[in-house]
Amino acid sequence: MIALILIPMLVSMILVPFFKGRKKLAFISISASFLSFLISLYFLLIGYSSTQSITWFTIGSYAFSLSLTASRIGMLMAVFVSFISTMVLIFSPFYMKKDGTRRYYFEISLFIFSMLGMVLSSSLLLFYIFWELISITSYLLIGFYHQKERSSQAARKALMMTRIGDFSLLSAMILLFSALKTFSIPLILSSISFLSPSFLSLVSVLIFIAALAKSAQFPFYVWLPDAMEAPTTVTALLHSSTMITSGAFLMILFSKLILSTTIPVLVIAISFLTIFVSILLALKERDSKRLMAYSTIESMGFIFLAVSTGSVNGGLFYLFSHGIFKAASLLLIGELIIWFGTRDIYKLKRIGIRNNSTFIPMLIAVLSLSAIPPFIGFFAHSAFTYDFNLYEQVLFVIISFLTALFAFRFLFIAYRDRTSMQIKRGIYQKIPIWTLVILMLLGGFSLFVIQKIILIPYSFDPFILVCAAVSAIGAYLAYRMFYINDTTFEGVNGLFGRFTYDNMLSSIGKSFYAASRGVSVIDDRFVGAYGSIGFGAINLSYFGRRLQNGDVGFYIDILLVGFVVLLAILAVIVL
Amino acid sequence: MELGLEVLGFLLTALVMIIEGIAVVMSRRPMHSILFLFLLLLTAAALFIELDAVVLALAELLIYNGGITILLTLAASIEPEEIRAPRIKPDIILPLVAAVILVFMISTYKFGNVSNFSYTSLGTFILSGYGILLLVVMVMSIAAALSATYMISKEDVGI
Amino acid sequence: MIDYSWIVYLSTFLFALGIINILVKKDGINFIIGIEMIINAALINFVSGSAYLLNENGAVYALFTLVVAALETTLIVALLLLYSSRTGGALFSSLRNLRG
Repeated sequence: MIALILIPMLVSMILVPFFKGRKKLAFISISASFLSFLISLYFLLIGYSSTQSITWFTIGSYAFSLSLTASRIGMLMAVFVSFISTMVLIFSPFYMKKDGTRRYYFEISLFIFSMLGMVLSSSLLLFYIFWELISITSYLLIGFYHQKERSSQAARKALMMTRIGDFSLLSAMILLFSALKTFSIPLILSSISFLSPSFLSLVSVLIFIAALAKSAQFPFYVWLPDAMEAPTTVTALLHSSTMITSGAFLMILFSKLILSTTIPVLVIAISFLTIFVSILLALKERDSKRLMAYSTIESMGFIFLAVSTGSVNGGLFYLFSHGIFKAASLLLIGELIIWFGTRDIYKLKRIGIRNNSTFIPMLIAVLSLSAIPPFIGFFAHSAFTYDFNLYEQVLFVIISFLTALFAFRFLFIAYRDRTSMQIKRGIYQKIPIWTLVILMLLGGFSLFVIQKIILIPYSFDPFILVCAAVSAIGAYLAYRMFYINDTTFEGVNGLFGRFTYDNMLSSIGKSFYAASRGVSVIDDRFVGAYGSIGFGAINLSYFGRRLQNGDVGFYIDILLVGFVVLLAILAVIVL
Repeated sequence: MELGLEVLGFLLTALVMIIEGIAVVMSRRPMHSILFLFLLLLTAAALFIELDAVVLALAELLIYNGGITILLTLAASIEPEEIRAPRIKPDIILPLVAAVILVFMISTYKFGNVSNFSYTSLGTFILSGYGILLLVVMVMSIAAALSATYMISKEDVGI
Repeated sequence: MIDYSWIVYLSTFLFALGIINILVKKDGINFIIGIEMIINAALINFVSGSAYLLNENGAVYALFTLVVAALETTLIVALLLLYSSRTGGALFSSLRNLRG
C-alpha cells in the first residue's frame, strides 16, 4: 500500500517520453505529483502505518531485503516533498518554455520519485539505492544545459563532491551490516546499545560525512553555488525538498545513533563554521541565485545544529519551513530571470523591478528567512533552538543579526527602484507563488497542529524574542547601508571577502591527475611487458619455424649438437 | 705396450681403415665412394680375422661386400649421376668433437685383463640362446624383401 | 695382444667419419654409405668387446646387426629408387615435406 505514493511519479516518468507538447507533459507530471501528495496526505491523516518488505536476494543465511515503511517522519516528509514538487512543477511550464522539455520532465519525475522513495524506505539498502539515484539525477539536472561549459562542469563538481558522501554512507552501511546482520533501520536504531562506543562513533562520523557532502556543509559546500547553473525550477526543488535536504534527513533519521556518541560536539563546531562562512560569503555575493545557495547552506547548518543539540523534531520543522520559503524565493527569482533576463542584483537595481506584485512575496520570503514574527521562520527558530545552551544562544544571536543583514541586503539592492513595466502573472505562476505566500504567512501556526502527529517542543522564551529583535536591527542596518547608502558603514562592507577554495580543490585535482598519469605510465609498462611476452612468443615461433626447415642435414646437425652435449655431460659426470 | 708383430699389424689395419674412410668422404663421385667403402669393408673383415672372429669376417664379406655394395652400385648406376664436390662445412666439427670426447673418456677407462677367445661353438650358442630372435630376423628379412619388391613394382606407393 | 682401447679409438673415428660423410654430401647413395660406415664401427665394437671380455653375446649381436643392416639397406635403396624416379634426383636436401 505504501508504494502507492511512489507509483504516480514512476508512471509519469514512463509516460513522459511518449507524449509531445509542453502542456501535456506538464499536465502528466503535475497530476502525478499531486496524486502522490493527496495519497500521502490521506495516509498521514488516517494515521496509516504499515511496512512492505520483499527479499531481494539471499546469500547464505543473510537476507538482503528491501522495505518501505510509513513512519511518522517519513510520512511528513513525503507530504512535504510531494507538495513542494507539485508547486515547482506547476511553475515549470512558465519557466521551461524552450528546449528539451521532455528530458526535463523525465528527469525531474525520476528526481522526485527517488526522493519520495528515500524518505519512505526503511531498509538501509533501499535507502542507499535511492540516495544514489538522487545523486545521479541531480547530476543530470544540474547539467541540464549541457551545451554550456560551466553547466557541465558544475554538474561534474556536484557529482564528485557528493560521491565522497556516497562512499562514506556505503562504508557506514557495510559496517552496520557486518555488526548487526540486518539492513532494517528501525532494528539498527533499537539495537545500538549492543554496540561498542568506538564502533558507534566511527559509524556516526561516516554518516555525518555523508550528510555533510549531500547537504553542502563546510568542507564540501563549494559545489552548491556552482549548481546554480541548473534551471531555476530545478534549483528550487533541489534546495527546498530533495537533494540538499536528503543529507539533513539522513541526520534526522540517524539522530538516535549520533546522539548516543560524542560526535555532536564536532557537528556543532562544523555547523557554526559553515553558518559563519556562508553568511560572510552571502554578504558579498552579487548573483541572486548564488546568494540563495549560501542561504541554503546556512539553513542546513541550522538543521545540523538542531539535530546535534537534541531537538530533532524542531530540525524537521525547520526543514519544512525552509523548504517553503526557499522554494518561494527561488521561484520569484526565476520570474525575475524570465522577465528581466539577469541574475545580478546590481543590474536588477539598475533596471528597476519593484512593484507590489513582485516586492510583497519576496518581502514575506525574506522576513521568513530572517525569522521575524509572525512568519513561518520565527516559529521554526523557536522550535529548533529549544535545547541550545548559553554559548550557542550567544552565537545564534549574532547569526540572526547577520542573516537578516544579508537577506535584506539582497532585498534592498535588487528591489530599490520602481519599475515602469506592466507585469501580469499567468495562472502557472499565481498558483504556486500565492500558495507558498499563504503558507509563509500562516504556516507557522501549524506548529501547534502538528503536535498531534509528532511532538515538537518549542518555547517563546526571551532568547527567541531577542533573536527576533536583533534580526529587526539587522534589517534596519541593511536599510541604512544599502537603501539609503549611508557612508558610515563603508568599512564594514569591505570585511566580507570570499571564502571559497576552488583553486585549492582544482590543484588537488590536478595533482591527482598527475599521480594518475604516473600510475598510468607504470600500467603502460605492465601492458607493454605483457605485449612483449606475446610478441616474444610470436618471434620464437618464427625461429622455431626456421628450425623445422625440412633439411635432413640440418636435422642431423641438431641431433649431433644434442649428442655432443649429452656426451659432454656424461664425461663431466663420469670423470 | 710391446711393439710386436700383432700390434704392427693392427696399427697398419687401423691406418688403412681411416685413410679409406677419409677417401670415402673426400671422393666426388658416388661410385668412387662405393669402391672405397668396398675396400673399407675388406679391411674391417681383416680386422675381424685379427680378432679371431673368422665366422664374422666371412659374414661381413658375404653380406657387405657381396650384397650391399652390389646393391649400392646398382642404385648409383640407375639414378642420374650428379658430380658434386663435397662441401666442407663448419658442422663437421661436431662429429670430431664427439669423437674427441669419446677418445678422452675411453682413455681414462680401466679395462680388465685381456685374453683370447675362441668362436668354435658359436653356432650352438646362437641356436640355444637366440632361437626366437633368429626366427624374428627371418620374418623381417622376408617382409623387407617383399616390401622392397612391392615398392619398386608399384610406382604410386609411398612418399 | 694389442690394447683394447685402441680398437675402440678406431671405431670412434670410423663413426665420426660416417657422420661427416652424411653431413658433407647430400645425396642418397652417400647417405647410405655413411650409415654403413657407422654400422661397421658398431660391429667392430661388438666383436672386439666379445673377444676381449670373453662373452659370446657380442659376436651374436654383431651377426644379427649385420643381417638387419642388410635388410635395412635393401629397403632404403628401394625407397631411393622410387624417390629418384619421381623427382628426377636423389638429393635429400630437396626433400622439403618435413618443413614446418
